[in-house]
Amino acid sequence: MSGVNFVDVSKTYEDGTEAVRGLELEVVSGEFLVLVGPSGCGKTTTLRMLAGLEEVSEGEIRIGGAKVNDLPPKARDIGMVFQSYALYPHKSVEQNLTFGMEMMKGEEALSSNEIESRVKEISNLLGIAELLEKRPRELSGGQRQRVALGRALIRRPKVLLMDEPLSNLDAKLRNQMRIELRRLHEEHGTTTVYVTHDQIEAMTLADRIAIMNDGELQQHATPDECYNNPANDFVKDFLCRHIDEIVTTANHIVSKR
Amino acid sequence: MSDLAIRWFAPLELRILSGMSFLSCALLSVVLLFDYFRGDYDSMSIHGVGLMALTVMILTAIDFTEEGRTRRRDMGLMASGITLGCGVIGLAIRGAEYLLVDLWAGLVLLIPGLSGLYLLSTPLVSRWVGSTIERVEAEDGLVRNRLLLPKWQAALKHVVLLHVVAVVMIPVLWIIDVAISPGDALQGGAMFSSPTGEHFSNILGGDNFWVWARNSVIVSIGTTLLGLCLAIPAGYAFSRYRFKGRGAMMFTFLLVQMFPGIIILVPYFMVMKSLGLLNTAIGLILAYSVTALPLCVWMLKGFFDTVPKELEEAALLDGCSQFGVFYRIILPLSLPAVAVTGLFSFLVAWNEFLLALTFNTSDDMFTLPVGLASYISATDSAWGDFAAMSLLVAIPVVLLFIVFQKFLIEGLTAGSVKG
Amino acid sequence: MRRGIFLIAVMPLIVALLAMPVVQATAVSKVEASGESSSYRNVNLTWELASPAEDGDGFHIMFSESSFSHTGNATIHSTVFTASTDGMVQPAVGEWYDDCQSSSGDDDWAMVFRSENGSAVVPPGTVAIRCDLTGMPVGAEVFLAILPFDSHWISGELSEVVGATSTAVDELPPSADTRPVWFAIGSIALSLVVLLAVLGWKERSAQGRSAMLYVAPALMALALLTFYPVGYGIVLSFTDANQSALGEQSFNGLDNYVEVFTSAGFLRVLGFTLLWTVVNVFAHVGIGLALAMALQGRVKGKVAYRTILLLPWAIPSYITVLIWRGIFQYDGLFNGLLGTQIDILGLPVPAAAAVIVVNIWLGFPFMMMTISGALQTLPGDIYEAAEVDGVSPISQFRHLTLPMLKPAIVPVALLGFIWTFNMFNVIYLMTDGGPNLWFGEPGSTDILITYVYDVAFRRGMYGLAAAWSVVIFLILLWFSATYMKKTNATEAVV
Repeated sequence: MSGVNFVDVSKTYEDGTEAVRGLELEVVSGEFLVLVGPSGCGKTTTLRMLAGLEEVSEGEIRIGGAKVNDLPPKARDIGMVFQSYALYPHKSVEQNLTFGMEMMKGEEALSSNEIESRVKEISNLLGIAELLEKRPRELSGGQRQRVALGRALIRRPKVLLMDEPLSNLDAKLRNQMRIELRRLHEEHGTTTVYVTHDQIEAMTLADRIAIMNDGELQQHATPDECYNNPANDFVKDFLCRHIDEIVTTANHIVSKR
Repeated sequence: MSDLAIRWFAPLELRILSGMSFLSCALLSVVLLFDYFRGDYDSMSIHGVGLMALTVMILTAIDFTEEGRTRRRDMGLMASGITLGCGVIGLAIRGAEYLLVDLWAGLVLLIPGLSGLYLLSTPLVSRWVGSTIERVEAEDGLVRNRLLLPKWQAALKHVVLLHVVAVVMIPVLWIIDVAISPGDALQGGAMFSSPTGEHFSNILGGDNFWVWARNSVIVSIGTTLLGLCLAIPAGYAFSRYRFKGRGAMMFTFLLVQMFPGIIILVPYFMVMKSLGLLNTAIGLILAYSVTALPLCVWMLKGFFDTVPKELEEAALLDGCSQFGVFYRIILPLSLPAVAVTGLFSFLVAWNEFLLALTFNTSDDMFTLPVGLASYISATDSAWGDFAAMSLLVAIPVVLLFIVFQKFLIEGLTAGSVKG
Repeated sequence: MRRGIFLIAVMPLIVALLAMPVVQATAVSKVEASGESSSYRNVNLTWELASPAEDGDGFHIMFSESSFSHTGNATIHSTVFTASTDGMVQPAVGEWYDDCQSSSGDDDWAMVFRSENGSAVVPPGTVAIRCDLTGMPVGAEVFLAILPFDSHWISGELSEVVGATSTAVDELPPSADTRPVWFAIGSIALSLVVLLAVLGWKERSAQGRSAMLYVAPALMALALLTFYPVGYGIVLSFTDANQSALGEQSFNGLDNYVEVFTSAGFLRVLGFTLLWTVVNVFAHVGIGLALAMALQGRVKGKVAYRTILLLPWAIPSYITVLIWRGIFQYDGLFNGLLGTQIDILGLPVPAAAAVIVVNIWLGFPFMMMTISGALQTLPGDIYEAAEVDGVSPISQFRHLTLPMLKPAIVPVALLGFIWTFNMFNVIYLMTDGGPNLWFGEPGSTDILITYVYDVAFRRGMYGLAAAWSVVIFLILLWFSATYMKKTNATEAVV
């Protein structure tokens, strides 16, 4: 019901750069898809087109079967976690969570009871119940990350979008959050599109990964498949060699001891 | 599923219309004010009705709910009709004796009136109002909204900005007009017919201008030099050294900037009088360099802060003395900043009026501001000469300001906001 | 019906309606003035009426140091009313600053009557009035005219303007002794040197000592030319210092302050100052914010717009104010463009509106630029987050932009408040506080600081002016403190 389809989607910026070319991609409902690729490969543009923050030059994007190309972001029923978290600096954690819901009008408007119970639910789920009164600047990186995630989830979106959400965390915290994200996904089953440039993150988080390079999709398959049967040299290079190198280096260090 | 596009689509026309009506309402308030000034109560009531019709238009266009669409559209059409009618009647009342403002007031009503009638009755809007719109149509409409709405918004923005520009430019154009018109006519009007240079030759040929300009130049340059001599070392110390009382002293400098000038005016005057410094350049130079000092110190401190400390340390290691570092490294590096600060104190001194008016009362010691004001306040009649002289004085200052605006504004806001 | 409709539409304007001139009063047929035989600082003025005065008629004596043709360029010296004089007293010569006599014909002059509040009153039927006016500058020609009015309001039919020169001389005070001032300055400089030396000596490090050396000149200048005058001003406010007794003033306790607070125009001028300041600051911030928002992002011709909108700030303010004065003249551009005939600077309400408009025009670019600068520093990503959250542009502005701009706006608004409160140039050059309907009191567009200037440099009452200055300073201090406290408090709550 809430799958995502990219049908021959292209994006050309006004200055002529082609960020995405002829993208065909299907995200099955309830799937955790990771978009991965080197920087500048068009993965973030793809995500932003899906979110409605960037116009689609050609092709069609569908959410739950309906064409959303020209709908405003709010009409698409999505939640998004930004790389920089983009928390409202002057609002408390609680206000950050509720702001979007409080601004709803007409038939969508939620009762204050409903909002309150959702805040309770989300803050317990993410372990931020103690932080509700604090401002973003008083929080650590990991806590901000959780708040940003909470803000994206609290509206119960059909699709959750994440743009390199872990890149500003240190290695240990990143590991921890990765596990937690996966756990959350398993509990909620929200369709998720996750953008990263980190191969390990992609391999460990995804149900399926989509590898992009230079605006084009290279391979779209399960992590296993991608690693064992790379579709082309790029995928091999990008994914396999990198991981092989890590393994070799690790072995090298071990053997030196 | 298919109704997503239909649900989220609202014709662009409504947004345009509400924006336009909103702008017209604001402008119409000014029109009403003008009507009141003219004691023209007929126009005033007509424009008042127009204002209310426009309000109705905003209200109907702003938020079409599912149920009331038809009723709202009809009300909107009626309001547009009334607006248009008011515009036409307003112009008709004036008849052949209309002025520029009448034309403008007419347009303020005619444009939204006509647009309202047209936009609310386009086929697309009609179908949308009747909820008989097709999905494809709604999807196309969304594309159209995305492409055209920014353009319309930009257009409305330009209309607002152009009005502000007009209000800003009117005095400027007027003074140019008066300066090149013969005689002292306050209406000017020579810009397109018979410009004359008589006022300029009056000013440049007379003694006053040159005497006052000389005084202003002496005072301003004196202020710049003295001010920089005082401010550079202080700014440097605040930027580089950590010493007892630093915070308190910096705060004092900021506080002084907030001091109202008036509280020192009277004692200043009495001190200057006692010291025999009235009607001298030195008195003004002393006063001005201290007036501008706090801000200059803060500006310079900010600039010095951007010079990396490592440079200094390297020079120290190379055997430079403390003063040598300041003199050989910091000063040359921050010369542009020093120049901007100098320009700032120059402008402060060049434009100051109150102290100059109070201290230097004999007309051979006037600075340009006081001299210029004396043209008008004495007689209220020498407008032509005044206009010519204003232009001569203002043009270099304005050019300087515009060329250096970025730095001046940065320095100013740094000094004022950091507190 | 029609009136009813526009009444609803333009309620606030109705207040201003009262200022419209309505009825014509008795005309003046002949005016004469002489300063020759009068005493020091006095000029004598006589005027005859075209027809005997009726109950309700009144006459403003307008004066100015230059020739004038509109009331806007002159000050009201005194006023004579026509009314039944039953029960009023006739004071002796010299009791009032405007000794007036009236005649009902045949040259039989009688002193005017004084009502309970001190107004000069002549009986109906009066055909000529003559007044001995004090407070005129000596040796310079002054210009006088009569402005007749009836009990409703001023009607602007000004009489012929006549000139006169007060010739009597008074003994000038001896020139002042400057030694105390030099002594004060010297001792302050000396004590500062000692203080800095002690501080520098206490500071063990060579760094601290050279820092003192660098700061010393600036600090010294500040102390001598700012703090010393401020202190001196406070001392002055407790003395009777005035133009004729400079350097010989003696302490008179709180007399000056009592005079400030009991002076007739105190509340009025304070009220107008507050109105002036508040309206201006709100307009500056509002217009500045609107324009900054309009110029945000990609706008065609942005550089050109910005440059033009900066002009009011770039052109020296004394020039633009004088230009606006020209525009608002009786035969100026404003009346020309609108086809009206309003003596804008000569009527209290229009003049007040005019000075405020001009100052708004002058001040908005500064706010625009500061707010523009602050807008650049706002994080862009939170707007995208809001977009995804489904927040409308208007709510984004209200709930994101405004609160995040607050830390930038709060201090500049305070700065704007202080600047506007002390904006001498605009008032002085536009109207000089006029139209002046009350002799010896602030005019209708006087703000505190222009009035202080009058007290000090027109009337020469330095001690009194110093007391006014101290009061102004205290008001500003109190306001700034409360403002900072209030805005910080609300920030903590939000």
